[in-house]
Amino acid sequence: MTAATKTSSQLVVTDLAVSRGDNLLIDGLSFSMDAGDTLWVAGSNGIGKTSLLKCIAGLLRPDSGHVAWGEQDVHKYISSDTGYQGHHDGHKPNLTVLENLRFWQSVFASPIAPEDALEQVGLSAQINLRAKGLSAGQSRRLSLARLLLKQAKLWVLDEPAAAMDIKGRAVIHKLVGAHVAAGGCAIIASHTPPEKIGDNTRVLTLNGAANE
Amino acid sequence: MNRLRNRFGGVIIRDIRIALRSGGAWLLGLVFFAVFLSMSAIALGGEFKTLRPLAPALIWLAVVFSLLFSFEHLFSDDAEDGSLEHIKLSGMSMNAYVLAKVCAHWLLAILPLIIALPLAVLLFDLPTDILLGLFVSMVIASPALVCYGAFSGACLVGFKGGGFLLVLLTIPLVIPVLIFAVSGAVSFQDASLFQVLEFQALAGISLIAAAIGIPAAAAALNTVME
Repeated sequence: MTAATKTSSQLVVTDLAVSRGDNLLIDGLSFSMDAGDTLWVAGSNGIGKTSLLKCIAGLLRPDSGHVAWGEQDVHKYISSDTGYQGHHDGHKPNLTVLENLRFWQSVFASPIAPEDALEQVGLSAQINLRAKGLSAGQSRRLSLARLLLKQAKLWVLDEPAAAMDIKGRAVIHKLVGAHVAAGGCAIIASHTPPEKIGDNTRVLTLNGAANE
Repeated sequence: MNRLRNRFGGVIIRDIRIALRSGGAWLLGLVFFAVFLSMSAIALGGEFKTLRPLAPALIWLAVVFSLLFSFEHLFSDDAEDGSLEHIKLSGMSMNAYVLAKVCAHWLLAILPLIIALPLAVLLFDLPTDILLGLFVSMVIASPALVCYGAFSGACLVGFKGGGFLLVLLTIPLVIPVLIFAVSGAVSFQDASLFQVLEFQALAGISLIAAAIGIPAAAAALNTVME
């Protein structure tokens, strides 16, 4: 998918090439996103969805090309305006749900109360439970709560619905909807069929570097 | 500044809390220290006369060995569970993060050894001068030990079974510390604190270790993540 690059765009990806090890996964990818856009990244396993998302978040250096968020190259300056949710939840098993979030609140210097974030993702009842006692889906919800604490403009979500029940998916839908309605951007990699969120939802299907 | 203090303190408090809930795993270094010393005393015949001259060296060896194995998980836990990615994206500088981890590690690994030092000195029936000498050498040399260890630990994040490599990587850095610390603790008996050249050298080594080890560990973590 190539969209004309506009200078007003929030996120501009230009001629991106990403590889993992010796495998060239993505080659010559360009697109841009404006405030309020949602982008679904689809494609089979191992096609490079996670690598692309890490690259957009600034965590993985591309072979060539640029990712600019708000006109700043994310690989030169770490973009603290990016909320990333990867495969690993990163919760400490021996800390309670609340303690985990309090830590992230101090790291993000967030004005949001952890209790409020937990209520939004439906974890209020587990607030004093140690994180190792959470189910996989609840652990994903806790990651979402951390995302809310960060108040980032750009959300980069890697399989947020993994291990989530139907209610959990509805929570993601609602949170992402509110986020893009408030002028944020969201990039979501998912195996579930893309749903329309916000006014401008697009789908990017990765086919492998050869026939990109 | 306030923000930095929050993050910095946040990392230290979190690490201490995790350690205290680890079921005593953080005390492994201290246990090793005690076991190593008592076994050495038994192996060397248990006579104070033979033990006394060897004791400062044995105590320092126990300190170094008990620390060597503690660096493997200093950063690997945060790196493997994805916490490090979030810390990087929070805009917290990697140097500040490494420094906070090093401070927490000092409190968890070195402080118990310093507190246990009088007991080790009792075991070998050493004079108070030597206890003081050991105490001062521990305080001055410990920043070097944790900073070099943090550097090695950061370099080996992502290597499965990197513990062996970590020992190989840390030992050459720690040897000068060991040399000066042992001879400093012994020569402290008949000199005042500032006349002991070994302590001045140790202070220099600690400063160099902090100035090089912390940025190098931060750079290693940034590289490992990509």
